[in-house]
Amino acid sequence: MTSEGSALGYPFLKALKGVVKILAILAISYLAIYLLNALLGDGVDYRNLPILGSRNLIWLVAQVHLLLGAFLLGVPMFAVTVELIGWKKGDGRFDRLAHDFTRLFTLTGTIAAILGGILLVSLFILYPGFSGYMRSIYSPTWHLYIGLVLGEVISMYLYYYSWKALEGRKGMHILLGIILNLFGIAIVFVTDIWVAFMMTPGGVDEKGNLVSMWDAINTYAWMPLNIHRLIANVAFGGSIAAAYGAYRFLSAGDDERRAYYDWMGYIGNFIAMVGLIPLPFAGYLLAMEIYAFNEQMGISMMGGTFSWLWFMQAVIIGAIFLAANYYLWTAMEKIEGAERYRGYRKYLLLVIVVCYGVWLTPHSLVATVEEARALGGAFHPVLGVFGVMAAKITAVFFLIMATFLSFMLYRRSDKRPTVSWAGKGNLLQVLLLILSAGAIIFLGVYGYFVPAAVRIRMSMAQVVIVFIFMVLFLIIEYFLYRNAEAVGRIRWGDMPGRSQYALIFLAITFTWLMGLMGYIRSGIRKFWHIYGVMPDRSPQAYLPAHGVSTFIISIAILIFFLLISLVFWMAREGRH
Amino acid sequence: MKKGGFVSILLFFLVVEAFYTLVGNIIPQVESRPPKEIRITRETSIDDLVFIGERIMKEKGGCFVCHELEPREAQPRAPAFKGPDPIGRRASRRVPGMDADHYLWQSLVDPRAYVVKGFFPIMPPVNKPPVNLSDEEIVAVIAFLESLGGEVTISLDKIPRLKKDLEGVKGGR
Repeated sequence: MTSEGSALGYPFLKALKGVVKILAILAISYLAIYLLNALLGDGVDYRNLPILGSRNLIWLVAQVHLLLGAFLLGVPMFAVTVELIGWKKGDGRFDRLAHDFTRLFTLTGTIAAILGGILLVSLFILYPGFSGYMRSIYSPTWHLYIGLVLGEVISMYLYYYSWKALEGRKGMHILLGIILNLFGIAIVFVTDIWVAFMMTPGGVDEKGNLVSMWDAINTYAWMPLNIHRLIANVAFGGSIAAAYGAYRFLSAGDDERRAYYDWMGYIGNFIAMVGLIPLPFAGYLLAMEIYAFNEQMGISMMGGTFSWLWFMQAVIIGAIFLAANYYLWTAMEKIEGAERYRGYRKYLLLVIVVCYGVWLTPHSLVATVEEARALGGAFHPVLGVFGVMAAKITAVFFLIMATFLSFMLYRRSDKRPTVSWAGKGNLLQVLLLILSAGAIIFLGVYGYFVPAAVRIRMSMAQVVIVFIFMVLFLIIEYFLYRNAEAVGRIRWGDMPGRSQYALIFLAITFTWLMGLMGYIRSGIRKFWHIYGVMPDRSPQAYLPAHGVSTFIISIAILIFFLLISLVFWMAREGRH
Repeated sequence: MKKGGFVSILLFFLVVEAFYTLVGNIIPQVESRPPKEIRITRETSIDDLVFIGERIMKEKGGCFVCHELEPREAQPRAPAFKGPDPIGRRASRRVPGMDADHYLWQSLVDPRAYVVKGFFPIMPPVNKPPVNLSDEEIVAVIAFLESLGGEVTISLDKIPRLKKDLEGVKGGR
């Protein structure tokens, strides 16, 4: 029997099988730790793994496990949302899409669990001192985590395998999906406790003894990390689902499938962009908490060893915005009626390219003495102005607004408003755009003349302006196009292959970005396992050269995509 | 899958990965290693103490993340050490009745005691983690700071006296 089966007993059987699988992986991991400890001998804080090195192994396994986990926790959020939309709209396409998304994450679950087992064994064998300390502090949360993983597995299998059986009771099925998501969110919250503690520890005294469990949980970075990861998981899951749609589109043999997978790619990309747009705000919140915990840590993160990796981040995020907009502009070609808006694309491209350029401009240049002399200092007389945070943050907000406008143009391409106040509504939106853009530029320029602490607060004002702009714009848009008439149709499937490569590019780039930012977040601890509490005294307690770290990130991303390709292939072949 | 489709996607993937790895390799390469332990004894000469102090400030202390030697930046995070009134000269005048040794020691272990006007209290105490300088290392740092426009009066012998004198001293802005 397959997922299409209608008996309710089958989903419970599959859920039981899932529980047994997780418990078996856990039991094997514990047994491996016990046997390896007995074989290698106790009483050491570190063990070195020849050739690859302990740190690199943990880095690779943890990164791949985290990416699989992010996908596993992000996809259910929008799978349930899409299912709910399909139910309320009575559109079977949405239901099919939600089911296809669900197939992807159920397949990913087993691989993620095996990687989790390998990570557990690697940590306890290679870093017994650190792992033992974390266990001594966080034993209750570890047991909670196991319980939540089992809950996640049970609800995940019930959700997927009861699709057909609960067809007549959709509300019940969606409730199952919501429960699944609650488990997923709780897992993120629990795992973030450990990661946040390593960065911004609390609840322990100077010798590392536990003083308050709640303070050890509710550390500076915990809640911002939760928010950041939840949003990022949605964006990441959307981008991978879009890549799956692209892969299926490129391999589709008929127009019907091409149309469906084109639509799937669009929805996946839409979800990724919806997640991406608030992500810088969440990142900002996390950075502020890091500064609040330890100003020196924050400054080291932004301006010290990692400054050139932030340049890389700018390269990557700019590429994401370019590719996402390119996809939308290409997609407008298949919409009858979009020709009214195609002319705006060149202006949006201009804004995006200029902002990308500003964001890429480094603050100080690595130059020879002769070059620096010719420049008149470390800063270029003209470009140096764009290298400071005041200009960069302003550029980011314009990138966000330009992408938002691309979405709005795409969305209204096949419609014409019928309300009597359509002209005034449009004018109001244009005024809103001009006012918001003007205020953001003003604050950006003013930022050059105030101290850093004031500038940071002004950036928050810019965040609020962008947010208010988007909300007000959407409210007007909603009423403007509520009873809009169709001026054409969307020819789903009529997309060039390069647009699908844009989606695949987005998925690779998004994943690479997660690898890079994860490295920076982890790397700011420098030579500490737990910042200021437990120093890292292992031979690999150093930050490798950027070339080496980016190479390791690339290897992790390669492994992840090989595994996710396996998931894609199994989903395509209908295997489980 | 159409013939060659998977290979095309794989090649595309590898090109994107190679591009990012290439960017990672062409940007200036920075490697950050933990600071080496430096032995400071009563036999260490003043010149060596000054030299070691500068090294600690650059490496283990991470002081130059915020401070600068010469005042260059328009909006510095922390006061510069040189300039028209260098730290070695101004330290003894900052707090009435407090010499440079006492003022600098107090400012390093309790940076919020005397915050220079116009700056925020963002400096962590250097004798506690994560900076975690030993008493001897703090002496070396003070020696370097005093050497900037002033006379080096600090020595390891003064450590017990400084600690005793500053016990319970709260400072003020």
